[in-house]
Amino acid sequence: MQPKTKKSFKLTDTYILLVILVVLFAFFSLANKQFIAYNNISTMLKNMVLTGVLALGLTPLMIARGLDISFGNSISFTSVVMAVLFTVGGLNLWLSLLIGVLVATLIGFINGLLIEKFDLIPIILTLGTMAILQALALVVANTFTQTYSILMLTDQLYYFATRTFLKIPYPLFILIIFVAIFWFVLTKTKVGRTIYLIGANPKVAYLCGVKVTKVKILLYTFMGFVAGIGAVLIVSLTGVGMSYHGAKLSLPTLSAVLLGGISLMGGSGSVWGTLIGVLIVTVIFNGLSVLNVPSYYIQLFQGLALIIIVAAYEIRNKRAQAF
Amino acid sequence: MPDNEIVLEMSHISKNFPGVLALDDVSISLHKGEILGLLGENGAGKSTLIKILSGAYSLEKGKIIIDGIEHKFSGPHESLSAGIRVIYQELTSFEPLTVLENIFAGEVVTNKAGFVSWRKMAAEAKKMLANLGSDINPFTLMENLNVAGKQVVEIAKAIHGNVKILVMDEPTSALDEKDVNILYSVIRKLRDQGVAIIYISHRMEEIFQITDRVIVLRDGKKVGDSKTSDTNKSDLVNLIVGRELSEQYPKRDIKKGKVIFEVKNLSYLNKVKNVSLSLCEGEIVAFFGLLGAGTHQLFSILFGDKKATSGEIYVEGKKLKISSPNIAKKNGLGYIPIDRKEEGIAIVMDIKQNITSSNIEQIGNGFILNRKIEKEHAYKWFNVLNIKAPSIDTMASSLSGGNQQKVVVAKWLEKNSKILLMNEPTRGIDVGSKAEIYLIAEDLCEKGVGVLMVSSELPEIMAISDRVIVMRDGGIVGEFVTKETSQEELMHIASA
Repeated sequence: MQPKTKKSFKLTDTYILLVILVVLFAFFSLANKQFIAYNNISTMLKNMVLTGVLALGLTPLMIARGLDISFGNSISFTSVVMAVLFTVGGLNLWLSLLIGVLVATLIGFINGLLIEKFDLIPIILTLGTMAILQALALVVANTFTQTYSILMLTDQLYYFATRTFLKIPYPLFILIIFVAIFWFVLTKTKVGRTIYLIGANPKVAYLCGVKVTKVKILLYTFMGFVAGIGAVLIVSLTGVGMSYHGAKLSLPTLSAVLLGGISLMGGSGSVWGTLIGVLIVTVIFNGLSVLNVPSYYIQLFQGLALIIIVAAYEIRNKRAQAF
Repeated sequence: MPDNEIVLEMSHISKNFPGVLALDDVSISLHKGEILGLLGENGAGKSTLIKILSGAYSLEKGKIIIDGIEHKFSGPHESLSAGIRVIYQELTSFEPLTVLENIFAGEVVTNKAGFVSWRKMAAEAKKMLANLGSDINPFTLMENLNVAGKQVVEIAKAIHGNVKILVMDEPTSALDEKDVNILYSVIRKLRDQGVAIIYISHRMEEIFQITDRVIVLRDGKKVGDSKTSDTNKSDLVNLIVGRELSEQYPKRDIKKGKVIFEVKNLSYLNKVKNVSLSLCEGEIVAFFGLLGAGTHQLFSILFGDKKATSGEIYVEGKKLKISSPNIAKKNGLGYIPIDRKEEGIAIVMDIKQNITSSNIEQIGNGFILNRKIEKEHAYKWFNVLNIKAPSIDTMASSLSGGNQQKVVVAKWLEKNSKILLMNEPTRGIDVGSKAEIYLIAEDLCEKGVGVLMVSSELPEIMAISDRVIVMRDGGIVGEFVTKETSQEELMHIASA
């Protein structure tokens, strides 16, 4: 009997992903020199921040067998709320952003409360909130401006979105801070261990005295908060609050998380895995657009990639189980 | 009744699981039209043998010969087409569907136009049920039948088609006496039609009523094989149990302390009725009851997994409302659940993570998880309980059942529980580990821990408990000092 320790298992996975990343990077660099130009790399990193932050928010939630697919629409709605408060309401910039983030956090809390208290299936419940939030985003935008997109341009946000420090774009620092915090919480703290325990077996965790419901509601609430930060990012990067901002975020984010080794069955995954997943997804889609692949083909490829990722993990798991 | 034609021969079968030799050179033969009783304690190897026969486990060593032809099953479908049917203890029927749909699950009878012919199917189902002496309407919903009815339908489904060998795993465990008789007549009818039957049961009376021959397994070995009429109950019991457990593990004389746990008039719906008990430091109190007696529910309530509808619980004299396992844990209770893999151990985590899982809050200061402390704690119990694994980093999934159970016990030692609730603590683990679990329980008692235990194995109860409480239909029907009672008395009260 060969005992396999979890550590060596995880590392091999991460190495495989790293190799894939390097190969993809080399391929796109050879295919088009523009790909490795500073301007493109910088754009790519900036685009990565949003997917990265959201994927990190999903990481502990999904490790604990939770799931939220409504974050994209929560971002749309929240960005509209921020822009309306600031532009139409004339509120202070920071206050508008803060209220927006609080609204998003509340949405996460409601998701968690409903799912955990009524034992609902997360994908179905958040599919419902997703539709409601999309509608609310349109209603709010329409009520106050008769459009679906509201300008929210300020010097501070523009400065944040465009300046660099040591040639590193400012938004990237947000991602770096997020990575550090999430890595620390998941690997070094008691909460982190509790999250893995819940994902490994919620009933066992419950019978060990873990307050499973409370922890999971907290994780959903935190995912809401992360979506709020996502809204701040998207408003600064684009200068508008828009009802369709988040519509296309769910797919690449979920793909990145699943690619990074998180299973819908919970219990597995890591911050590094998620980060490499985000890098791979970003490189693929940026690379394809640098190669002038039309956007509808990129979308087709996105869907295909998600299916391939999930299937690949499933096949590997089946092999690992066979004896 | 049995003629000499041998239908099945399983010869020199061995099967290894990590850490356990589940079957050790077992040979059995089965004649046409014979009812063979298969006896043995939990973990003796009965289900492993059946799973090899049904193709659920691969055959590693030995031969299976059916009607003179050697078979090597690579899956259940091959066993099915060789004429073998198994009816498991937990029935696998489709509850919301009709009897008819259950019998014909996986195939349909069509008319000339290629449409499903319900009329033909109903007629055939009716005939099949009538053959078994039953008048169940094929259009009844499965969920509306009682357990005996479901059994009959399961049998009809199983023997539909070419059946040579029928295996029944504790078919009567959920039946009352009247229904048992219905089942017997069905089984006898099948035997008279030439089907060979392997009948697994724990109930001695049944073995003498229904079987022609008995085979006894113990610790993976065949220890007995004779005509039922040539043996008697006490011989069989001795073969099953081996040496009396109480001879092997003499109960230590441990001084009892003050009462640490008390329950008054606890009820839960109609599953647990008006249960009162008390437990002292250093005492082991066992609960015994047949299936559905309410013992398992009682333990779920005591640990806060289910909420009692009425009653009071006192821990060390303090009245408590145990509304969640968290509260139970904080007040010094520990729980070893019956279903180890689903409730006891997180198999995708390693040994140390499992051991510390009940005590995460104490592993390090503040919110930081201190891995050094975690290793020290885990290593301590790893050694004390003699857990057999390469290291504390070994995944729980690669441990044998006995070692997994030790990890579950370690969890509550780590938490320093004062009151330990053990629900079938030795279910499905090998004899060596069983003995170790008993020793651990006694060691705990010496340190002043009180142990409440549910067990369906009477020898175990006789060996390690101080007192026995017998439950039936959710209520307590008897309480005994273990030394002053016998297995027969307990069984009699539990099943009366």
